[in-house]
Amino acid sequence: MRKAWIVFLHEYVRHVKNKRFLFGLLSLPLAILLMTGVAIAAVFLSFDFRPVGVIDRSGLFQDAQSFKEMPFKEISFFLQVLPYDDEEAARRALDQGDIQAFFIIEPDYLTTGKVRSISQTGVDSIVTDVVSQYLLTHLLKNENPLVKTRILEGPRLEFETLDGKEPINNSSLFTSVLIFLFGIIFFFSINITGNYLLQALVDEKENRTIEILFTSLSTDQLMIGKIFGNLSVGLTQIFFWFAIPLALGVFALRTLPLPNTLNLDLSAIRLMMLLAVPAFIMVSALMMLAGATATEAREAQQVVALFSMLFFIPLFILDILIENPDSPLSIGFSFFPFTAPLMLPLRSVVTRIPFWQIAVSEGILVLCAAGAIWLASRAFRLGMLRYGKKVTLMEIFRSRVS
Amino acid sequence: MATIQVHEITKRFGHQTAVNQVTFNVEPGEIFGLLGPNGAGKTTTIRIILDIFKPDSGSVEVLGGKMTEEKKNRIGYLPEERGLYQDISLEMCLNYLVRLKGLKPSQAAQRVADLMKQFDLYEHRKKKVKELSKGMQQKAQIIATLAHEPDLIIVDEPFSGLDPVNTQMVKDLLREERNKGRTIIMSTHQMHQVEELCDRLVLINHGKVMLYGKINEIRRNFASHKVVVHPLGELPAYLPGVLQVEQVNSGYLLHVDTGTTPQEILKSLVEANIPLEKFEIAMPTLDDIFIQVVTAQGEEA
Repeated sequence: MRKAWIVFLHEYVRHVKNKRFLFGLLSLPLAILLMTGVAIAAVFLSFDFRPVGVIDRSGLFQDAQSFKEMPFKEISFFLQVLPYDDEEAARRALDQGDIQAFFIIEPDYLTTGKVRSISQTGVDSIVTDVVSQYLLTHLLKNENPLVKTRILEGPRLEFETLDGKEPINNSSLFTSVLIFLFGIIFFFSINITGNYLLQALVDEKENRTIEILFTSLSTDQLMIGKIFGNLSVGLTQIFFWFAIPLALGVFALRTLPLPNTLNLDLSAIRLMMLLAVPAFIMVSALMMLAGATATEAREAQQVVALFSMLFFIPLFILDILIENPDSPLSIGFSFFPFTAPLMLPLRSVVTRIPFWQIAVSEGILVLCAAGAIWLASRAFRLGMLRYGKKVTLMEIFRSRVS
Repeated sequence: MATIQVHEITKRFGHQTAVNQVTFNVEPGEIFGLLGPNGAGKTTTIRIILDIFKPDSGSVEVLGGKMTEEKKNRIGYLPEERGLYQDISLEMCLNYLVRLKGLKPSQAAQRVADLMKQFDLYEHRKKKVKELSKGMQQKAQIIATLAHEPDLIIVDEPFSGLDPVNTQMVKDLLREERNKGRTIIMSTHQMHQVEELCDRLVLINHGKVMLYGKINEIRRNFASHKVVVHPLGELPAYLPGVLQVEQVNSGYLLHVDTGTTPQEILKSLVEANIPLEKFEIAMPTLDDIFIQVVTAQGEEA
């Protein structure tokens, strides 16, 4: 296997050291960072960060502090709430532009909840939310902390039905979105790594180096080195491409109160990972098959595009899937190796999938991956020495290569 | 024991028989010519020897047995379809190909550097392969073939794309390798190179062996009843046993009767007091033999 390792390193280094790769590697994260920066800048520029004033005529908020008791994670962190003794002082501050608005808490607030808002051009809903949160927090300041938290955060709902089907709710929608995102990552991974693999084979054919390689190491070692070398190149690119958005996403999830209100179902993601591994191997082998039998890169890329489109069939029939997740069509697509990696996890969000279906689906994928490797190995040996000539599937089956 | 034993190998692609019952041996320490016109089956034969293709029937033994992964490290191959990685530096490309022949990184780097110096490529080592001329790429391929010091060297058209100076260098290199006891198979169309370098040859046409043996013996077998004479003066009007006199360059080609030996012609010339600069039996060139054999088979077919 030492020679497979040499091939692996060579394939990896020659791509990674290429300027085109570095440009491609940096272009997407930079574009994302730039767009994120522009979006954040736009929000900051358009949002009014000036404080808001509060005049307490109810006597309920006499010793209220502006944000010490406010939850750190809230946007209110950026927005200061200043108490004023009388309306005149607040109006003066508003005229001078020191504050964007002020709120007058009426004497009968406790019974009527009445609060007047005075501003020059109206206030954003975020401002009113912040003021409401401010009032609520201070009203509850002497309450038991557990009770206070429950009132402020509200209930955490879990949904069940008598027939075992899980109705669509915020949580399952969020999981579905995550599956969709993972699907996109999977799609990108397949395309990027597949294209590297394909290009490597077509280059090898065009450079006419394959004959020297065949007389230096076994076909198996060459294939292993090439597959893993080019997969690693693609995965390096994907890692850089997705590490930054992923890190931003994790930061957002930790910072924002979203996870507190959504019960994330990780079992669907785990199921997807389980199915993605053999699916990835199967597609890689099929890419090799396409690369070894095609006469030029464009022709092979068309075949690859077809493979990757098949993976997205479940998303095209999402409506039918949600309506009837246990229909023969949905179950059928759960066993079809190209659609199973997305179909099963999506179904698992809305229904309980019997274990045997998962086992059969995984089994079919593993068998297909093994079959694709076998086929690719034969095609590789036969097709790589055919310069400018196609190799047919019949030839691959009939050939004597071992 | 022969370095290569090819025994009655046959290979078909669809309905076409590329190699048909081909048998020959290659002995240790010789330069062996593998000849034939385009499409004769030479490259297929080489690929079968190297285990790239499996024969439909027949057997091949290389370096004392069947091909193994270890034996691949003892073989250097320069294919007819030349190929190097175009988008990487010459040094990186050669180091990679040589390392695949089992050399450690430091060993590979040293050998490659030495050979690049020998072939005047050292100062171009950082250039991308695609920036090199065709001749330079050809030399780089020869380096990749020889750097691991193989016991068996198979070269397919080794002189194509080389200028006369580099052609001479490669010839000297091949002779040097033979003198070190290495076995060389050379496939080429350039018959004068075969005459100059090879000890024995096999000529394949339409997948079949047409000629096989030592070059001198083959030429002798094809020798016709002709002698070349370069007299200092004129030839006598009549010489016994001579059917026709043909003037060629600065001498004469004498067509001799089948019952007369060249020695009898020489004796007649000496007796007639004709001073001679040159007297030799007119042996056919390999080119002549090649054309004769290939044309004859073409007419039969």
